[in-house]
Amino acid sequence: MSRPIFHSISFIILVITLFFILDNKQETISEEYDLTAAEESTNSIYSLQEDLNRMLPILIGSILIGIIFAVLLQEYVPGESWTYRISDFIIAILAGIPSVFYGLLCVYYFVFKDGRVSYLTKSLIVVLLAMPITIQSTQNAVKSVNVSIREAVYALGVKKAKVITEHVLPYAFSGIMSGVYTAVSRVFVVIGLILITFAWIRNAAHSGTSFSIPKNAFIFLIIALLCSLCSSYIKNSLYKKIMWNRNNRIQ
Amino acid sequence: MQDIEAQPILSIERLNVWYGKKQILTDLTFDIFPKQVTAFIGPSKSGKTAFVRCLNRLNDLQHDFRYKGNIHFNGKDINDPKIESTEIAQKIGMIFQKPIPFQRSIYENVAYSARIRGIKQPEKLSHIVGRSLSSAQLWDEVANDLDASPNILSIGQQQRLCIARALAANPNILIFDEPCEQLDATETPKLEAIIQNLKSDYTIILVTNKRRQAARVSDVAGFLYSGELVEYGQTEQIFTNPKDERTESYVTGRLG
Repeated sequence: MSRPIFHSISFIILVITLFFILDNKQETISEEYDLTAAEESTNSIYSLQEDLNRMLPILIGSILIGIIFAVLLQEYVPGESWTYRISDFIIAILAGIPSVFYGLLCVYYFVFKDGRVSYLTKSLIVVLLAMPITIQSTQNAVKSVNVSIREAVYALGVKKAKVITEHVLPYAFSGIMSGVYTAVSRVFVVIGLILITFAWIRNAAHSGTSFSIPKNAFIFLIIALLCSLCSSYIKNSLYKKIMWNRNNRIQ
Repeated sequence: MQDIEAQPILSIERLNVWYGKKQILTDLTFDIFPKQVTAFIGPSKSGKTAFVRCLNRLNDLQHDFRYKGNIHFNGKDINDPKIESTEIAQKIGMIFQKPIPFQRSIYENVAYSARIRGIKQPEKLSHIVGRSLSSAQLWDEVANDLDASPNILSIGQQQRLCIARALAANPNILIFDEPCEQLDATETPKLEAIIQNLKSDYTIILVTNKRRQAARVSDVAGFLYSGELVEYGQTEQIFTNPKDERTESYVTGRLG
């Protein structure tokens, strides 16, 4: 299936979900109950920070599982099989959804519905935010490893698992890291936005106090920016490498 | 000249190969005898590489590869499901058109093949590395740079490093798939000399587009055209007295 179709489907999903969230959000903001509940449960912004910190193992776990899943999918599942096609389709849709959509979901679940949402739901959003982009980047990185390298190793009688761990993954490492940086960047941008939104809501609740962006939100946004820059840099190097491989491909 | 009493090391029987729906090889039947250089010549897209990739089961990597027929290596069917493809690949080494040294030191490139065989002792590894590099006529040039990256080597030296790496795996058969395609005029004679030297210990299969090279190096030659083995026999006969008109056209340069 071509990319425009993926984008169209993800856009439709985005519009429908945004409609429901915004519809819900208006009600939630207007309810004094939610604001007070949020204030009661989180005396300071650092309580929210703790909540977000609990997501860190989920983030690391989802990235690691994403990498393993992508390598297994790419190396062991035949490209023409239904398993591969369906997985590829779902991943393309999830990775194609802009991070702002997940950002809104996070703001909704972490800030507005705080205290009433399970740890599992919050974890699921982080997984959805980080995993598809990691899987897609890892798949592309593994695909970009020149087939002649694999053949040179196979021709020595090396087993497949060893070919992957000792040759494919080291060559694909930069591409995988590019995906990891993008995933971390996406998650940290969202965390930064959650913290800013939380501070803004507190300001709205206590009208008259001056609104200032929390320092830790700044830190998350700066790290996200750095991760994004790293990702772009690696992608650029990787692109040059792919072009070099393409120009030097064995006929 | 082949020994009439010698048993073939490879027997190919009615081998047909398809990539997807396209038939690449049609009904190949012949024997390859040990300790000889057997060359396969033919224009591009004639199925030479597809054929040699069947011998070490590299075609297994192609998802749309299909075959019919038998290939027996020392009497055993190489496509027997009980035999692992890695086992076959260890016995039938391959040198590719373009040298692919691994991103590790020169020493480690060669030692890697020995380690696959389960050799771990440093003394044994050093011995195998030295012997393999000497057989590939590279030892004198890299003896002081064993810990260096192969990137410092010229393309020709990298190709010889790949030969040393293949030799360290201790194969019975060595396939050279157009090994001189990327090499300059000074490196080609060196590689041909290596092939001649290795002949006493290994069975060599050479795929080449260069007619003169096949005539210089090989003992037996086969002419492949559009996936069909047009003629197979002693190199001298193929080049001086071909039986088929197409072979004559090819060896005289009128075809391909």
